[in-house]
Amino acid sequence: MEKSAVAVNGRVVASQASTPIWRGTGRIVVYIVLILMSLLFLAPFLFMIGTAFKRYEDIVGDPLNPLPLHPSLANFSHLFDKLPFFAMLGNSLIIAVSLTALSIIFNALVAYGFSRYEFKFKHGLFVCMLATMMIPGQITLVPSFVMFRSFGMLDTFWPLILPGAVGAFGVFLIRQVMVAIPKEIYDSAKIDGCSELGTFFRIALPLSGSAVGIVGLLTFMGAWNDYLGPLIYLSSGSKMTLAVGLTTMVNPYKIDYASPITGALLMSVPVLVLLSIIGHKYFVDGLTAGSIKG
Amino acid sequence: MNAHASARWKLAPLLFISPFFIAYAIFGLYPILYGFWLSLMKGTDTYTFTGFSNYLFVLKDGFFWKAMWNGTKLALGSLFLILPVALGAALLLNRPYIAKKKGMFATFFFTPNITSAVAVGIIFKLLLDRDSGVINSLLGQVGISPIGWLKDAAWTIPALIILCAWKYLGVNILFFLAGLQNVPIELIEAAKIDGASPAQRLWHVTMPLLRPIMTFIVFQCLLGSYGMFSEAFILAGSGFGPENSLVFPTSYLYDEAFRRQDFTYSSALGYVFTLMMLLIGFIQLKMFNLKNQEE
Repeated sequence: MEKSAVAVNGRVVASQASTPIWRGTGRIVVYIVLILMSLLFLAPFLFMIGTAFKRYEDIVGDPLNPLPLHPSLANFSHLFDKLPFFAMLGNSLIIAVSLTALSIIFNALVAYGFSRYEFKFKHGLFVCMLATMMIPGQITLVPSFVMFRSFGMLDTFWPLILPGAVGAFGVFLIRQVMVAIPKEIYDSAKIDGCSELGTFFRIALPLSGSAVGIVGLLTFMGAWNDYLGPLIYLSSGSKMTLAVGLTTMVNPYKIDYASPITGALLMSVPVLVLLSIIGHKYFVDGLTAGSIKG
Repeated sequence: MNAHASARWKLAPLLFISPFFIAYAIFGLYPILYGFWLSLMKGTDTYTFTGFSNYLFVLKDGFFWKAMWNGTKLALGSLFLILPVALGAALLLNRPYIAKKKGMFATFFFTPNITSAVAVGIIFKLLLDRDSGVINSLLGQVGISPIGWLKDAAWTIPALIILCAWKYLGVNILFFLAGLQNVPIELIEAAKIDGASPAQRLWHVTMPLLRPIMTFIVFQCLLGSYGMFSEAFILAGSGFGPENSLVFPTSYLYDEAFRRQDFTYSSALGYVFTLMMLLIGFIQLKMFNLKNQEE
């Protein structure tokens, strides 16, 4: 669909009255603007990487030089000395991975219910579900804490995992793709003796892979980057996640520039790796496709 | 067999959708109702009923309104600085000859958005440092004396807007790009034939068609600005910043609940904040609908 639009677009441009030279200059200007913008967006990342390998005196004395002229791993060893870094990394991973697994299954199950069947009050229930997105999380901050305290779940990972396992946004994104699956596929599976749950696992889930992937990625990122949740619910150092742990590295005697940013770099690695594995095309297209149909 | 099968057919959809409604009842609805009950109480361990006195305190609480005002400043900065730039970038990316590289550029712009607020906060704290920060060093090259971005109360919100521009521009570019897919080429073409200038085409053809996605983008932008927490909290060094210039409703709520242990007052703050957000959302929807009817 997008390809044909571009083709039409191409004809439109070709039929324009402007001369080729002007058009060429215009294009170059657009490219230059976009490339400069990209550099502006990359710069803080490059700064982060450069600083993590710099020596303290170079960070303070020569901030404009992005390159670590005397590369050193001192910041890393300092970071690992001061923080139980790998324990925190493990905690962040446990939370993010289990939440992602649960959210994929539950969001997809609900999306399947809303896309596969016709039933009474379906539209009303769907609108109700979407309406929950309008309610800001601030309203449940304190009462949720009191609730989880009465469950005896403080300083455990449960309050960080359970509430995020299913949500209107995830259901919505997956449903958008599932409604496009033709009824005939389900029917033939049924004739072949597939159960309702079987059609979900064998047909609906694999066929909505793109939306499921996006929901999984966004859930993982959300949990990995979550700051307020662990800040409220976790108290013991051995349970702490990276996001909160890194901000606790305040040295009262000397401003520690490098260690937090070294931690920030290590914390960003999974995000960048995931993004490059899943691929920008898939990610960007999937997100925009989801919102178009909305 | 038939009756049995149809009963199962009726039960199946409800079973599939039940996880959402069960989870929302426990983790959404119950806390919302319980929060209302809490907000009518007073005390830390044992609660005594006080009616709406917490709400009266919130309405008279200058600190809460300062937090809301900071949210307003951030919202204005986002609406009038970040969104126009995002629209401009999306229009550039939507040019047909960029099509193949659109994904690559969009990824560059989007990556900050999925980077942790903590990492971003740490990076910008260094970049914006008064004495050894890169931004002040660059400004120094053109003869501007160092700005106390995070030390001077007048500059903290601009500093936060710079951070937010970097972090949230990309996702808004993506939203605008999605909206631009809905602008039919034929309409632009027709306007061109009728002699409309590029500016006229943008204002009279593209913008009205972007209105549905604009409603969504503006709403997200307002909600995000008033709901600001992590970035401001980290920039301010786990506090409210110089002269409380970085206090936002959520950080105030957090402080009241978890540092001062005043759950009841914090619940009332949460309720007032939520009602104001719903009101803002409602007014915004009305405004966009009115504009739709005018055309």
